[in-house]
Amino acid sequence: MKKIIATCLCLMALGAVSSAPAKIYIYIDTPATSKFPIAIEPFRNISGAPGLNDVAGTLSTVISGDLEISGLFRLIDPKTFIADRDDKEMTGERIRWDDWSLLGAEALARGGVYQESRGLRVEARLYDVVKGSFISGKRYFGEPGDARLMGHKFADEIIYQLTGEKGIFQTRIAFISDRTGRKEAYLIDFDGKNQTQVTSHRSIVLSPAWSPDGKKLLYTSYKSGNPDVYMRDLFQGQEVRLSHYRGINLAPDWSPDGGKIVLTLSEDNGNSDIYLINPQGEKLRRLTREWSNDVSPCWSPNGREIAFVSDRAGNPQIYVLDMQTEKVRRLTFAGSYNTSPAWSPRGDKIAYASMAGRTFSICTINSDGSNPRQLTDAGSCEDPTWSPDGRHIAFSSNRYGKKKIFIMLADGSGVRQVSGGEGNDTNPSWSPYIDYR
Amino acid sequence: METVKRSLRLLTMVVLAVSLVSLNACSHRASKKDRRGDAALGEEAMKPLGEEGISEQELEEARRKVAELRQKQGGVLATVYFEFDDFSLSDQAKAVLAQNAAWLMNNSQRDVIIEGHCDERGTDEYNVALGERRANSAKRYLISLGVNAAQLSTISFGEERPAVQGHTEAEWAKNRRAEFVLQ
Repeated sequence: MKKIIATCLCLMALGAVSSAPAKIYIYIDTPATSKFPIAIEPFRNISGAPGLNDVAGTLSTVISGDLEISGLFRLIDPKTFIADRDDKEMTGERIRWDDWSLLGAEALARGGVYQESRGLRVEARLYDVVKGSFISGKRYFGEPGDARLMGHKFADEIIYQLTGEKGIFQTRIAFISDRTGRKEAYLIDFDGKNQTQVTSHRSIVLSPAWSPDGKKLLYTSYKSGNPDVYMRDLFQGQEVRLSHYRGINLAPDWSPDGGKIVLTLSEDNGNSDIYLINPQGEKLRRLTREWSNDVSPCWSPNGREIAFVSDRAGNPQIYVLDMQTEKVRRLTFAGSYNTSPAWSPRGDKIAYASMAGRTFSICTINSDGSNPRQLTDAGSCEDPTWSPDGRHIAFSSNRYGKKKIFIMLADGSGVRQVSGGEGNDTNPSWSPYIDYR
Repeated sequence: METVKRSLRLLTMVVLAVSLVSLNACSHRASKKDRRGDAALGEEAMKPLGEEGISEQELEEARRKVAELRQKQGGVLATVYFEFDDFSLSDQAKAVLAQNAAWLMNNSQRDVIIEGHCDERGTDEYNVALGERRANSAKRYLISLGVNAAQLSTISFGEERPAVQGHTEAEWAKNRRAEFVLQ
């Protein structure tokens, strides 16, 4: 994680830019009849320094890829573009609006890379083609290795300016992989790039979960011979054993306000129940007392309820516990094995994994228990986790052989694989918005 | 003078050695306590087995059987198997546990870790809880048969440590188990 600090970019909004979007171009809550047409003009190497061609190429690729993944855009085919006249300072004065309009573009993103005495500078712009006007501009300073992050940052800016919502392109996904022969925790960018190994316990690591500020990771590990919960600071790299009560200490989830952690403990006769601890590991409250396996708790975004899995009715189903009254209601009734609840960031839905025969599929259900829907039908899919904007779900699937991490839009479309390499990748956990990169 | 120095040095070494030994003993005790806290820490009362449909009469019979088995020397600690998504003890599992109880009572100085395991179906997290229940089912039954709780500790590995690889019922059946590992 040191690298993130080292690559922290100097980011400067141009004077003319207001931070809040002046106009909403895409209403993401309204089911779109058509996608918003945008042209990403390939970023240019303005200084002509040989090393910067790759940077320019990466910027175009990352921005186009991000917008594609968002599911909101129709990207105009760059092959149809007519080369613009030279615009060395990216002033936009010589943009031929009619040409872009003719191609069907309603917005245009473009930019250039400049050699600086130390490192490089990127100028990136977003225009309204219909009105022929400037929407937003960003200037980034960095090294060639920062190109992907700069691209993600500008793609986030495009999303923000056109939809009024924060983009997810700087978020990361934590997951577990056995690629070394042991299960360890790893991090990737949401698009699968920039992988780092988090743990080297040479034991069993399970169930990663993010702190609300995206700076810490919780997980269960057998490192000390018992399934205990650990907390790792992703900046300092230091790790503390947070919960090591007798029996299992499993699958923690951090409350949205950061003050509490919910998890499963089995200190009572091996009976797994849901407990609350504080971020220092001290027990605050026992939330369930059934003689059943109560596991995989997850907070509602307002912190008032907790969804969890229990076999109290004979097989694993999803239940919801009201924190105030401690009353429990059963959420899922269809199917005989429903697990891994994940509450959507908007609070309206819960994603879960439902087993039929030998395979799991990812489903969603309204948080009042209505409208269960199956989203996947290829391979066995487990462990759903929402992107912080609630528009995507990541999960693990064995549809091409070994288990890998996939992402899709929240309606089940646009599935793409984001983890690769050897071994089985499982237990994805999507980070909250990350502002520190 | 030389001899005084030497004996002083010797003394220091002895003191050091002694403190090392006691340090070792301490950490050993501490880790042992941690590991299986139950007996050492005087946990809450064990939940009675009656609630799982194992009657006192049935237990009495099983205890007589254990007493018989104890007369025979030898024996081994055998693995107990379970049904899918289940931690209740079958008749066969109870018979195996009676043998294990006899062995443990005859070897009361030996400690075991009971490992609970699951087959690969189901989620990792649910299976850790299920494995924990299997280990504890075995442990509580052994204690009910008269085994000293201090000899027993438990750990669940969920589906993480299968006994055999494979994706059919034949392999799954071998992986749904409680294993006894001598300390």
